Amino acid sequence: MVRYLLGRLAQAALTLLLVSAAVFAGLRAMPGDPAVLLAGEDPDPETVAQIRAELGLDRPVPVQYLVWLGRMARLDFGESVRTGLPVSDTLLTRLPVTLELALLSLLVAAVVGVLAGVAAAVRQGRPTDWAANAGALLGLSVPNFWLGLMGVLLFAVVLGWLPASGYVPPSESLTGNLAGMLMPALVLGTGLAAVVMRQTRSSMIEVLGSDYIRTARAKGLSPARVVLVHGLRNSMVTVLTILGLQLGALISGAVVTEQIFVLAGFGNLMVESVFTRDLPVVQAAVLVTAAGYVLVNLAVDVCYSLVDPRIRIQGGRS
Amino acid sequence: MSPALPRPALAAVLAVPLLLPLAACAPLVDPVAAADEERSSVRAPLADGGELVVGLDAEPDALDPTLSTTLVGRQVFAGMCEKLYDVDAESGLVPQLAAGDPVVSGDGLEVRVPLRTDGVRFNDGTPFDADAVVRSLDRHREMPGSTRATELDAVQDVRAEGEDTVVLRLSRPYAPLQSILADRAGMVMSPAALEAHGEDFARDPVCVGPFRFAERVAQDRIVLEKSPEYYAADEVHLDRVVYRPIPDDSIRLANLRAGQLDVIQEVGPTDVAQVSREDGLVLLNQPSSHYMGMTINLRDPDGIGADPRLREALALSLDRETINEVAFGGVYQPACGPIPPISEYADETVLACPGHDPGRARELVAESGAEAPVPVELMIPNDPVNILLGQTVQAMAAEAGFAVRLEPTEFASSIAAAQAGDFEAYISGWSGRPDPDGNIASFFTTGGANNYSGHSDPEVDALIEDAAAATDPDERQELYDELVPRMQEANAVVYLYRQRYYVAHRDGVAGVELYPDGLIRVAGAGRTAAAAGDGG
Repeated sequence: MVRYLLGRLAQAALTLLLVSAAVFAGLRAMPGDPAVLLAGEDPDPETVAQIRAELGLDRPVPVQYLVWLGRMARLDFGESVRTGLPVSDTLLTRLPVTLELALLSLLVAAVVGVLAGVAAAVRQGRPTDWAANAGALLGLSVPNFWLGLMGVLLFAVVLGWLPASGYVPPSESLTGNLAGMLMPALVLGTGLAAVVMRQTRSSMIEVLGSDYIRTARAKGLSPARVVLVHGLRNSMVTVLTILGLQLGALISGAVVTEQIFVLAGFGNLMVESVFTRDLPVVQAAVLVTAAGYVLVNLAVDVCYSLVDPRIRIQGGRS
Repeated sequence: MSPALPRPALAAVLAVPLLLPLAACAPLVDPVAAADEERSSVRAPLADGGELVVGLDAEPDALDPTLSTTLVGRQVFAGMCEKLYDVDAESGLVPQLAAGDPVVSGDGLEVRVPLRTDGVRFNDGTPFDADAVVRSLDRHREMPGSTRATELDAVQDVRAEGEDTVVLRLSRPYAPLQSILADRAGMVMSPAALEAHGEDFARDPVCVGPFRFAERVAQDRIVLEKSPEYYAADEVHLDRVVYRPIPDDSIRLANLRAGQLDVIQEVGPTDVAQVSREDGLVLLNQPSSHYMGMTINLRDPDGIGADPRLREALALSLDRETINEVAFGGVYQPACGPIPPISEYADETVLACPGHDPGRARELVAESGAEAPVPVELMIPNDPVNILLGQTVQAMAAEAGFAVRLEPTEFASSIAAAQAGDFEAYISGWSGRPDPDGNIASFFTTGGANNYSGHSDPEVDALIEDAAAATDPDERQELYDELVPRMQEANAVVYLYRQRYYVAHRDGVAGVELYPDGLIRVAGAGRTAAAAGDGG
């Protein structure tokens, strides 16, 4: 297990190196010179040249990359070229918002999706199944921006129950924090819940049709035990994969949801920074996101073996 | 005040048929009339204390007056950094940290700025004096990457004369200087803060102002708190001002309605009519010098830029009134030239419009010998409002025999293409300067930084230079009267419309001031005593 983990971590480091090189090259291939944007509305060539030199943009790209890599190795993320603020501070203030949003919406998706999926599978072809499927179709079809805007109009503008925007750190006020995150998590979670429901349903139907379930029933186990212990546990592998992949996507930022609820998360940060050609911020944010993806995937792989003992991790002891 | 214009009346007439079908189910609101009621502030008795949350339409850039380039950044400076001069409600220039108007020597080469000495202190307690002004001006002129350096190009040397006067020596007479000192170039930074942070002043900016910088969380909020050092601190009511960037117009407005924001910059043009009659909201409205124009690439040998007849035809095909109606619900103003109606140099000649003449446009296309429809590639900003603008232009140009293809392009890429001369026509905006020179020189002078069209005419260059150097207003007026029609004839830039500033706030707030420079002034703002009494 330890050897396996070390091997995976080495792979992860290589992946991150490749990602950073690709992002670095891609950003520099983009049209639009950051120095020109920084020089303002009336840029004179001398100022632009000065700014280019200040930012090191006048050096060859491979040299820029090595310099950047050297700074990264010392955990020096540099400064935002647009705001002049340290990138590490910016990322650290974003991380809790993004993580909380990701985890809460994942929770919404998992609870709603798994419950609806199990119910639909058990009552296959009956009204419960139809309702769950219709709900899933709706969840997948309704775009987040529309759902979000309607939520804001109804719950914030008309009823005034929830705030329209803003992030309150849980250390300041836990209820304020949850009030602010409730709508975004629900909006972001609905689409995901639909995916989880479909997966749970199909994999449950498959499992419930298998021989050992028939045996379990024949032994006289209670229906709840059959479904939840013997059925659900064995369906969880596919569901976990989906949740893991989605968590990766959620960490990279839910751009639309963040914009509607004005949450300062990673998605917004990256989009804004690409538009303003704030290269140090984009590079650092992509790297952190990629690291998140890699770690989540690793964690999912480890979880497989916990949920399903049939899966043996290579190099582990059986 | 700005001269009365016949255009809004005409636009109102045009708007009536558009609105009639709605009359049966909704109260008839004439957005043009709403737009015309200029209101810069609402007065009410104010309670002391409280917080004002301002929604901005973008994330401000570095809070360093030497480096700042955005209007949204100036919104934040308006709360914490006073300038040598300020713009008043009538677009006039008034002393702020200066004690009076600048005194210009006979040859126009020496400018003396008298300074306030009545106990003015920076927000860190450092006294304000001539040495501090010299240090800031020198930083603006000399720091690498300074975006003020071009504005202060004419300044050769700055020195203090005693504690209360600075003397600027110029390399040439330069009329726009005072208006430039009414913007970021006139902001004075605390010498102690410059000593402590150097080029990283933006991390903890300290100026003279009603509020001082407290905290900035990038893309989330900028917090200012009341400054005890401010010379007029007893006229400041609020404890804190929080600026939050919310780029989307409808989300910003929803947050104002829900009470998360107290003030919003920039009400979207389609929301103006609704907000103007909405209970609980107050709409402030000012004319601006911000314009959008279509730059035509004169250097493109295969494009319409190469043939003056085609450029003129394209310009004549556009009906600016209808553009304003269709794309902006009639709440902006048609624009035909670089000098805004609020300028002191806006006389009849300067404001004259070549107008809309599709018949003549078709003749010109035929005369040019080009095969109709003439293809035109039009680069436009890729947001919904500008795409609608592009489509309107496309439809109008089609009637004159042009086949316009729209190329929505993200801002940074469009600037790169424009600078490389890699475009045929390009719709872009200019935030506008109070002095006419700031709206002309960079766009029309040979080799100017914003001269994307490649316009080059030695006579026009000379006129631009003479007008900027003319310190006598009558002489300047004559020069602009000659210059502007020549610019219009060239059709290197086809002016389309001028924006108006629309700011909204909740009615529990008063004293927020909006002037024609578009800045939201919060120094005298506060919670109304009535709202505070309700516990609001």
